[in-house]
Amino acid sequence: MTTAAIVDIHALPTRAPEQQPERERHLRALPAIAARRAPRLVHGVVALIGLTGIVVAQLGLSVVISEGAYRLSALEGESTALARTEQTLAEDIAVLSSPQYVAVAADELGMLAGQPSQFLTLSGAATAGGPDALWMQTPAIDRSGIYVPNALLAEEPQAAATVRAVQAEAARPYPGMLLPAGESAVAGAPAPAPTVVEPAPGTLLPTAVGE
Amino acid sequence: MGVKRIRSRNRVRTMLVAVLTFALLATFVVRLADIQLVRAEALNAEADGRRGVSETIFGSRGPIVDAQGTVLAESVDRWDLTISPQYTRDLLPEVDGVESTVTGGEALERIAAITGQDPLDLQAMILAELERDPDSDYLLLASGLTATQFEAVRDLDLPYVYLRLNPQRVYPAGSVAGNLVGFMGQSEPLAGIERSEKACLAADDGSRTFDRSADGTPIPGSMLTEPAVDGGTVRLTIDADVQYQAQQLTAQYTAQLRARSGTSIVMRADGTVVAVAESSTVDPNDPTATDQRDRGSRAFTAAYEPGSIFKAFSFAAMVDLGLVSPRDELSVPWTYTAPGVRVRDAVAHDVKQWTAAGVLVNSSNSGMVRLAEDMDRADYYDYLDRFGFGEPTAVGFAGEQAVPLRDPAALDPQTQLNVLFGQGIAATPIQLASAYQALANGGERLPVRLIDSCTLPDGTVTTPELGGAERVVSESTARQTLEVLERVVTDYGYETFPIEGYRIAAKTGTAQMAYEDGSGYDPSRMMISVAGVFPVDDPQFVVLTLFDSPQTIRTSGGAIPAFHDMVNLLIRHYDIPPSTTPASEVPLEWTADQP
Repeated sequence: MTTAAIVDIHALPTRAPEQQPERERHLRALPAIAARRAPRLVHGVVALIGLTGIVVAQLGLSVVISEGAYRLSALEGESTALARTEQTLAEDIAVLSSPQYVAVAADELGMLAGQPSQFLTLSGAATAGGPDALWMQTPAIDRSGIYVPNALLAEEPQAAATVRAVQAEAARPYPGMLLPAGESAVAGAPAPAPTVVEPAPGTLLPTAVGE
Repeated sequence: MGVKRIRSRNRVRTMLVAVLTFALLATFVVRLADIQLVRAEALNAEADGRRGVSETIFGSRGPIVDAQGTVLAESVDRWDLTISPQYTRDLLPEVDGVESTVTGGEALERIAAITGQDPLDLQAMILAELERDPDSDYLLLASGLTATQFEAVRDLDLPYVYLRLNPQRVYPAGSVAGNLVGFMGQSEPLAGIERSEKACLAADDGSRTFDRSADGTPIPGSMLTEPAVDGGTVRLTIDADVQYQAQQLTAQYTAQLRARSGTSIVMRADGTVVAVAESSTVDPNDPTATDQRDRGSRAFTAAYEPGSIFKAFSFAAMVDLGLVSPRDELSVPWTYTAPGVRVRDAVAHDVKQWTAAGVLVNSSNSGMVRLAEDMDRADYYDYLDRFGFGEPTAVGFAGEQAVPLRDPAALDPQTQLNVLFGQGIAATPIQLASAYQALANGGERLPVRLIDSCTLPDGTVTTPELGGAERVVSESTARQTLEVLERVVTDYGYETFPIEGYRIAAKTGTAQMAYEDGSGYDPSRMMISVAGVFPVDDPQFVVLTLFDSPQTIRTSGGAIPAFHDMVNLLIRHYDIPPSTTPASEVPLEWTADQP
C-alpha cells in the first residue's frame, strides 16, 4: 500500500538522536574556578553601617512623628480653646445685638424713633409726607418691666451707662462756665441723665368716637 | 568512606534543620491563626480597652434665623459639672503636686464662686449622695456652664471633678418670635419651629476613637474619626425687627386694654409671614417662666368665632357670584326677623338707606342677611373653602388647628344667617390673615409661608413645597371689596383709624366668645379685632390685630389704634410711599328720588 509506505517513510527518524555533544561535555576540561576569598571587612562594615543608618532613621522618623503628634495635640487643644473663646464672644454679640438690648440702650440714651421718610412727588412741587405719629410710643422698659423680655439680657446696657457717665463728666459746671439763665453754677451735681418722656399707659390713646 | 559519612551527617543535619524550621513555622502559623482569627475579637476589645479612647463628637443642631439672617435660635457648647463623691478629698502638696493643701471645702468654695452657687448647698448635695450610696462615683453639681466657667473650673485642676460637654440651645433674641421658634426640652424639641422642622435642624453625632499614650496624647495613625453631621439652618420669612416692634406694640396695647391676650399678624401680599406677635409671649430661654397657655402661638392654635371681620368674605363671595354690587341700594332696619330666625345689629338704628357698600362699612348684620337672601349656602361654603377656612395653613405649625367647615346643608336656619357675619363658624387668626391675603393679591390666595428654606451644611437648599396659588374670587371682586373696606377706615367714625395719604382697607370686628364648654356666649368676654390690607392701590401687607377680653375699651374701637400703629410702623420700616391714586368714592348711602 502506498499509504503504508508513506507512513513508513514518515516513521523513519529524520535524524539520529544527537548524543554527540553530551559526550563531548564529559570530555571537556572544567573552567578554572576562581579562588574563593574570605568576605572583606568593608562589606561587613557597610552592612552594619547601613543597618545602623536604617535603625537611626527609623528612630528619628518615630521621634519626629510622635513630636508631631504632641504638636498636633497641643494645636488641637489651642484650636478648641480658641473656638470656645470665639463662641463666647459670638454669643455675647448675639445678645448685645438683640432688639431688646438695642431698644433699651436707645431709650436710655434718650433716642426716639426717627422721622418717617418724606417722598418727592413726580410733579416735583412738594414732598409727600410719610405716616402720622403713632398713638402710643412707650419705651422698651417702663415701670411694668420690659415688654418683650429676654432672659439672656440680665444687666443694663453698658454703652448707655458709659455715655451717661461721660455726659455727666462733661456737664459738670466749672467756675466761669456760661450757663443758661435761671441755672446757678453752685449746684455741683452732675447733670441728670436724659430721660425719655414716658407717657403713662393709657394717656395717649384717643378716646373712641362713636361706635 | 569518609566522604560518605560526611554526606550522611550533612543529610541528617539538613533534615533536622528543615524539621525544626517547619515546626517553628507551624507553631507561628497556629499562633497567628489563634491570635488573628480565633481570639481576634476578645484581644481587640482588650487592647482597645487598655489604651483605646472613644469620644462623642457632638453635631451642632442647626440655627433658626430670620429673613435677614438674624439668629433667633442656635446651639452653643455648655458643660455639666459632675463630681465623684467617693473620691472627693483634700489635695496634698506631696501627692497632687499642688502648692498648698486644698481641702474639699475650699475646692467647693472655688467651684461655687465660679458657678454662682452656695458652697454649702454643694456640700449638702455631696453628703446626701454619699448617704445614699457611699461608693457613688457620679453626681451632677451644676449644668449649663459657659466656656468661661468651664475654663475656670478646669483650671482648678481637681481630680475628682469631670466636666462633660452638653450642648444647649440659646435664643439670643429672647422672646422675639419665641411663639414661633418654640423651645427645647431636655433633649426633645417641644414647640414651634423647633418641633415642626426637627428633620432639618437635627444633627447626627459622630465619634472619634484613638489609641492613647500614657499621657493622653493620641498615638499617631490610630485616630479613627467618624465626623458629626451638623443640622441645617432654617430660615424663616419673618423680619426680627418688625417682629420685635409688633410684639412691643401688641404687649403695650394688651396692657393698656387690660386684655387677656393680644395677637397681631403681619403678612405680605404674597403670603409670606413678616411677624406674628403675641402677648404674652414665651421666652424660649426660660419657657417655664411663662404660663403654660402662653407658650405656643395662639395665631395658629386658638380658633375663635371671628365676628364682623368675616363679613368681608361674605361680601366678596356675593359680589363674585354676581348677586350684589357695591352700589346696590336697600333699606336696612336694625333687625331682621323671619320664621324661627332673628338677627340684630350691634346698635339700634332707624331704617337706613344704605348701599351694599354701606351695609358692609356700617357692619350691619341685618343688612348682610338681606344682601345674602339669594345666596346658596353651598356656594358660600365653596368660597370659604377656597379662602382657606377648614384646613390648616401650609405652614404646618406644631399644634395648628384646622377647624373643619361644617356641612352647609346641615346648618340650622339661624346659623345659616350667622355665618354671614362670622358667628357659628370658627377660624384661627392665621386663617383669617390668609383669607385677607387673597383679597390683597387680586383674588388669588397663596399658601402661607413662614419657613423660607432649609440649608444643609453641605449647601443643599430645600424650600418647602407649599402648592400653588388658588383663585378665590376674581380680580375685580377683590378690588371692589377692598374699595368698600377702604371706606371703613375713613367713614366708620374713628379718627384714630386713617393715616393721611395712604389708602388702607380694613374691617373691624367685635366677636363674642363662646364658653369653653360650648354652652353659649360668655357676655363678659369679647374678642376685638381689626383686619386690613394696604396700600389699596398696590396691596403689599395684610395686618390683623386682635385682643381677647379687653377691659378698658370693649368694642372694636379698642383695637383700631393698635392696627393704626402697626400699619404706621410698617410704612416707616419699609418706607412705603403714599398712595398716588384717589381714594374710592363708592357711595354708602342713597336718597330716594323725590317725586
